[in-house]
Amino acid sequence: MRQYDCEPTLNDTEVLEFCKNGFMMFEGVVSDEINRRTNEYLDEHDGMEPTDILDEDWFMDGVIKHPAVAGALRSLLGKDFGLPNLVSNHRIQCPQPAQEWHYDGGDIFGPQLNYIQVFYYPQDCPRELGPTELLPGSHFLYSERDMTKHLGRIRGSYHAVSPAGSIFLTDYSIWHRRSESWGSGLRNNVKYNYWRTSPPTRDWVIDPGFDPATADYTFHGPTFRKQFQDCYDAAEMYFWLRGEHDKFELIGGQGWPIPGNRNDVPYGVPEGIGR
Amino acid sequence: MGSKTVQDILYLQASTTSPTSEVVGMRIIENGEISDGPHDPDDWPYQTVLEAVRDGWRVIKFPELALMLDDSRTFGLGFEFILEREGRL
Repeated sequence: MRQYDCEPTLNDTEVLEFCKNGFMMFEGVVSDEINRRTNEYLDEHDGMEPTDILDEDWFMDGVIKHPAVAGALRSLLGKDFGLPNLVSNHRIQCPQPAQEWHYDGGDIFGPQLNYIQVFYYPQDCPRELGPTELLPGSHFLYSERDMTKHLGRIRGSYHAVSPAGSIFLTDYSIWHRRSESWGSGLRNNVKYNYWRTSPPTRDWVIDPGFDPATADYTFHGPTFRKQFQDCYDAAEMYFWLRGEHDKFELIGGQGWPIPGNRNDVPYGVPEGIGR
Repeated sequence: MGSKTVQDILYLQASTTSPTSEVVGMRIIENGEISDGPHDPDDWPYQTVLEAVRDGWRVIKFPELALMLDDSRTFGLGFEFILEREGRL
C-alpha cells in the first residue's frame, strides 16, 4: 500500500463545507500537458480499469499527488493517507442517455470519512458531454440503493461542468449519475479512491476565527430530510473528523447546532470543544 | 391520433406528504417514452402534485410512510406520488 503525506490546505470552514455538501471541486488544476498525456494513455488503454496508469510517474505527480488536491485530501483523510490502487475510467461515446441515480456499491452510510472517491476529467466536460450529476448533501440521504433507479430530474442537483484538468472529491455515499449528453465525441472520466490510514484529528489549517459553537452547519439547498437534520448530520461528521465524535451530543429543540438569531451561545454545545 | 391506449405514468417526489408542497423531483413515462423532463426545475410541468391532478392525472400511489418510521436512518427522496393518465400510441 502506497501512502503519501503533505501539508494540509483546508481550514475549518472548508472542511465543514465538505461535510455539508459531500463534494469539493477543483477546476482546471491539472496542466494541459498532463491532460494530453492522460488522454493519449486512455486511448491506448481503453478498458474500464486502466489501473496501470498508476505506474506512470507523470500521472502520479501531475494528477494523483497534485498539490492542491493532495492538500485537501490530507486535510480530510489525515496524515499518510493511502494512495489509489485501482483506477476506473467511465469512458463514453456521446451522445448517451442519463445513467440511473445511484451511490456506488460498498458504501457505508454514516459520519465517518475513511475514503474519498475522486473523479478527474482530462478533457473539457461541458454539459453536452454528460458530466457527472451529483445531489449535494445526499451522502446523508440513506435510501436502499435499488430504490433510486426510477428517479429522474431532482431539484438542487449539481452538474460537474468543468474545464479539462478538473478534479472533484466526493464522499463515497453521495448520490450521482452520468447526466445525459447530446454532444458528440469521447469523454473520459477517471475515478479512483484515497484512503485514511491514521485516526481522525483536527490537524488541518486551524482558523482562529472559527467557533464550533456558532458555526453555520446549515445546508443551503433542498435537504430531503426533516428540518434541521442537515445541521445535525454536518456537525456530527465535522466532529468525527476532529476525532471528537465521542463528544457529539444533541439536546434537540432550538439548541446547538441549528441556526438562529440568538443573543448568546446556543444551549447544548458539547462540553470540552475547543475553538 | 393513434388507436392503441397506453398508460402514462408521472413520478413526482414532493417535499412533504401534502399535494400542495413543492415538487423536488420528477420523471415521466408518456406514450411509452421515458423522460426526465426539462433541466430547469422552474420549467417542470408541475410544481405541485395538485397542479398535476388539476391537469387530469390520477394518483395511484401515495407516499410510503413506512419509510419514515426510522427517522434517523431512512429518508429516500422526498414523498413520492405516482400518477397516471391515459395516453395513446
